[in-house]
Amino acid sequence: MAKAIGRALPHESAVGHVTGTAPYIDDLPALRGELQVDFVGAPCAAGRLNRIDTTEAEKMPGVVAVFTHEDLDGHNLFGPIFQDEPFLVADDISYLGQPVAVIAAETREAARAARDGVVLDVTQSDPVLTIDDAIAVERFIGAKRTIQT
Amino acid sequence: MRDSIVFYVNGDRHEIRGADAMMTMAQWLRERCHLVGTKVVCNEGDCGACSVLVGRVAGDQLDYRPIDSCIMFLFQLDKTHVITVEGLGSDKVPTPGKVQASDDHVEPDNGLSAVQQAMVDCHGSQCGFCTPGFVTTLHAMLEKQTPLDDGSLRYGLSGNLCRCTGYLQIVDAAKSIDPAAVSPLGERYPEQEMLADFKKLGKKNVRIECPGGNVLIPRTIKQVVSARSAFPKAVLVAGATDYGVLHNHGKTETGDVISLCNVIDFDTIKIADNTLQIGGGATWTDIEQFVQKRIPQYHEILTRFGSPQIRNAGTLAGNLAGGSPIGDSIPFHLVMDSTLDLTGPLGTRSVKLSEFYLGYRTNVMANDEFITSIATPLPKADERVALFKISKRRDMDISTETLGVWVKLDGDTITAARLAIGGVGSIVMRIKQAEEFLVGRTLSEETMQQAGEIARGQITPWTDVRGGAEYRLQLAENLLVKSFYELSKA
Repeated sequence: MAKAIGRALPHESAVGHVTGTAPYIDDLPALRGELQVDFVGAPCAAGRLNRIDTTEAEKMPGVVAVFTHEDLDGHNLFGPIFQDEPFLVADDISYLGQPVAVIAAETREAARAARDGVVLDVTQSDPVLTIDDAIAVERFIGAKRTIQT
Repeated sequence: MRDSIVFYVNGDRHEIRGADAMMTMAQWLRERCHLVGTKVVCNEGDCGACSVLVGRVAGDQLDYRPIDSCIMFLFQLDKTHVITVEGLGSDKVPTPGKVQASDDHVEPDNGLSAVQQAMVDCHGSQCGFCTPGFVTTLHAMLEKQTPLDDGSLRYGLSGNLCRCTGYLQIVDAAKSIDPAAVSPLGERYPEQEMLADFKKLGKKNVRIECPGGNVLIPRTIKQVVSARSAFPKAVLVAGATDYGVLHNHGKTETGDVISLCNVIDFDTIKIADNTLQIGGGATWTDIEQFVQKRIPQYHEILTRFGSPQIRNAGTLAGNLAGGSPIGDSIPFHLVMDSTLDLTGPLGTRSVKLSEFYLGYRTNVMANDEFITSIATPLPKADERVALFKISKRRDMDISTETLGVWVKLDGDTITAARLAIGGVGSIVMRIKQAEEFLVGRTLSEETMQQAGEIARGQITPWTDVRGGAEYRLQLAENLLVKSFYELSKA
């Protein structure tokens, strides 16, 4: 133990890194019955999601399930400290590609193909991209705090 | 006629038939061989995490180069030996009696190569995902006996991106390697058997039927022409550095493929009658090495093209045929007035590059023609060339703007001029009015300034993520002024 102090020790996974043997998730052997997952992202950088129709995607070959925010039983917010980030778009679109629907299928190709079977009805709006614009439309993150003297 | 692609991986022989022939190398390694050391990250040939060594027949040995396997297809790998990170471990036979007691540093006889050991000892990894790519590229540099110093590492590793370490530890690791401790790949993987195998296979061309279409690997230019006649919708693939990106984005259609990887005498580069002749299959690396002393300005631009992995696969012909307005090879070849040989069923015809493009990414080639050779007159003693590539990053970046300047001088007087500018319209264009202005004038900063002002009026750049229209207009003017200094160098 004393030998460790004051010495630059190699990363505990260093040997795995340099040999390519460190097992990352996508390197693991497939489990029996394992499904592949893909997702459909919002088609615009800002706007409102009016409607999602997943019926076509659900019928496509190899597709096992398609999930939207409606399947989350109200648990749609996550975050390490404050749980304020939506997992799947419910109404407000915040960025291009924001996950709207999750597809689970038997193969990667089936999951990818099923993306075309998810129909989104979206109303696009102008994204707020600068601090000045955000202040102008009062689009803030977190609580508003005032410093008074 | 053969019905399979044959290559070796880490010394083991493979024959590929059917749908697998159309897989990318990275996908095939990971999914079919469970060689998951090769990682897929960007899937676009940028980050180099997927780097593997591809050894191709060069005379009586194999020439190994690092390649991005995420955008290389199995149909490009016939008669090659591929080495992955799994094949680059220690080449020493472990000696059980020599294990040391110390438990807080890694053993010398632990199956690691000197490169891998150095990366461990110098903390060259954090998350580890880029690491196999770095190990592979470093092995490639050592194979070519490149001295590993700051300059050569900055250049040689420009195709490997790390988000965690800040690179310092990786550079330190590389500099600590004793080249004598790394044996040549030809010793680790004896080549005689592979070369004999490839020689025998080499006499036949390949045709594989896949569910998605046919894969054809012709051996001669004539066979390419007949393959195209037989399969008119087939896509022609050389380096695939553009095609591979489109494929991975789902933007290509499944269909027939003709791979140019085996066409003989297709990648020759030579000088004849003061003309640089480049074959349609010559890669950027081949050209870069050839022109290093002969045309230093061109070499300088080539070293900024993509990355070593991209240059090892991509071809000049592909860049010219692609005709992007920011194709980095185009300004040089346009101002040097290159001529292209286009070959089809009716034979070969020559077309000047200045007459080759019709509009955005369209050119005069018929559907069944392809570029077989590019002829470029070398600059003469009374000619000067200056080339510029402006991009946000030095390496691995799409240009904001490019400029090529060629002048012929009689003392200080310009007797002829050609200016080619890219990134400011739908094609790389000559700036005719500015060229005409320069003829008969003295080469001076003021003359070039005036030429720059004329150029401003001739181009219609747009605003995009790489720069605003106003910036591009200013850049055109500034680059012409700057070119005075480049052209004035004796």
